[in-house]
Amino acid sequence: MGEKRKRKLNIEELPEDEELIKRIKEGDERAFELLMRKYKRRVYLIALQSTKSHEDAEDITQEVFIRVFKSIPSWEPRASFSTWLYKVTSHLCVDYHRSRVRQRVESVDDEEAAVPEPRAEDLASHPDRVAEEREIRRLIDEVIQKNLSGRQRDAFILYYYGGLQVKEVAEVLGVAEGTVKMHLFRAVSKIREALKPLKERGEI
Amino acid sequence: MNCNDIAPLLIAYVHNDLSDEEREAVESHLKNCPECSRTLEETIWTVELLERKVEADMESVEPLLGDLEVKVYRRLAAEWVREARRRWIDRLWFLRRPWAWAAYAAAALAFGVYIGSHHLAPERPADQPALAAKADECIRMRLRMYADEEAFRKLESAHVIKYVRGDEWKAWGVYNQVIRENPGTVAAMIASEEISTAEYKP
Repeated sequence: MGEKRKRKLNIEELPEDEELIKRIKEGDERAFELLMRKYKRRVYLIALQSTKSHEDAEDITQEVFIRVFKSIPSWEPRASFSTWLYKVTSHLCVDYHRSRVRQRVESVDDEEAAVPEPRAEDLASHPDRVAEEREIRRLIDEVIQKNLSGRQRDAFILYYYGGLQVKEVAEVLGVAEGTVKMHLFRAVSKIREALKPLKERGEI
Repeated sequence: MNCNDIAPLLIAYVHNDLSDEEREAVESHLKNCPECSRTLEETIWTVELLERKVEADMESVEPLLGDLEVKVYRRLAAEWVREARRRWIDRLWFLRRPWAWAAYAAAALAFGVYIGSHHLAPERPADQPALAAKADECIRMRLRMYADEEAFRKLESAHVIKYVRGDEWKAWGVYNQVIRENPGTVAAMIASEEISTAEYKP
């Protein structure tokens, strides 16, 4: 069993959200850590798509969990935990952009790729496959950043990076489910069109 | 339903995220529509690539977030201690007035009582909900990992020296001692923050 699969299984083994929250409320010091471990990468990636800077995305991720920690005592499971978590995340991303608009400092950094490059050891093991995967990732990132409207991007990111259902994405964004489906359809269609040339050349 | 109604449902269809009704509508339409069947096929491989990309992104950010939990705990702990300190200062603000020299004796007494009763970090305000206190227990446990009781006691006495006695120079010395003796702990972090915000630097 490869390293990748094992790591995946580890994540699957983490307890359900409701169970973790119950344990945090009871004062279980490990439960909050597990909750962070379960969601940190998703929250970070969502923030990264919005801020395009590692420092800011990490800062937002920390802030999200600090708010979650403070609100957990009064949190009632009316909606799913992840929906609430991503609501907090998207509010913080909106705040981030508001404060940036105020101090409006354009810099070249904004143009940099949103996602970190693969590590050297990955490249060493399967150079061709990894280079190809990287090209696909780069293309998809480009479409997400340049060709999607704000709403399409939000829906797409929450659906794929947040791992939410259509219903939950609709709740986070405060729009109808049909609207979310339409945004997703448009977003994936655009990505599909961008990847088509690669597919036709048989590179995928 | 025509093609225009079906197409937007295909993504959710691939992810098995449709109601039974919608799924049946999509399936019966697909039987008679080669155009949508082709779109479905293309959607399937696009979604596969997307999922691979998301997974690859998740893996590549893992090393960047290795110490996120610790950073969150540190920020929570620092906030918590700052809050406790603010309460302390509010409670004793009058002692800093020049006319209240007599009250310095009371300050010394309070200091003694404080050290005697707060062997660890200070408590949260009593009006916080009981559950918050329980959740706080998590931080308290973590605090023991990052800073020992002694460091916190020193830190608190430095606060008293600085905010109650107004002797920044002496407080500066104690803060530095905390930093020196407890490198990398929350206590050291708070101490260096105090040093950086001091108006008077020896």
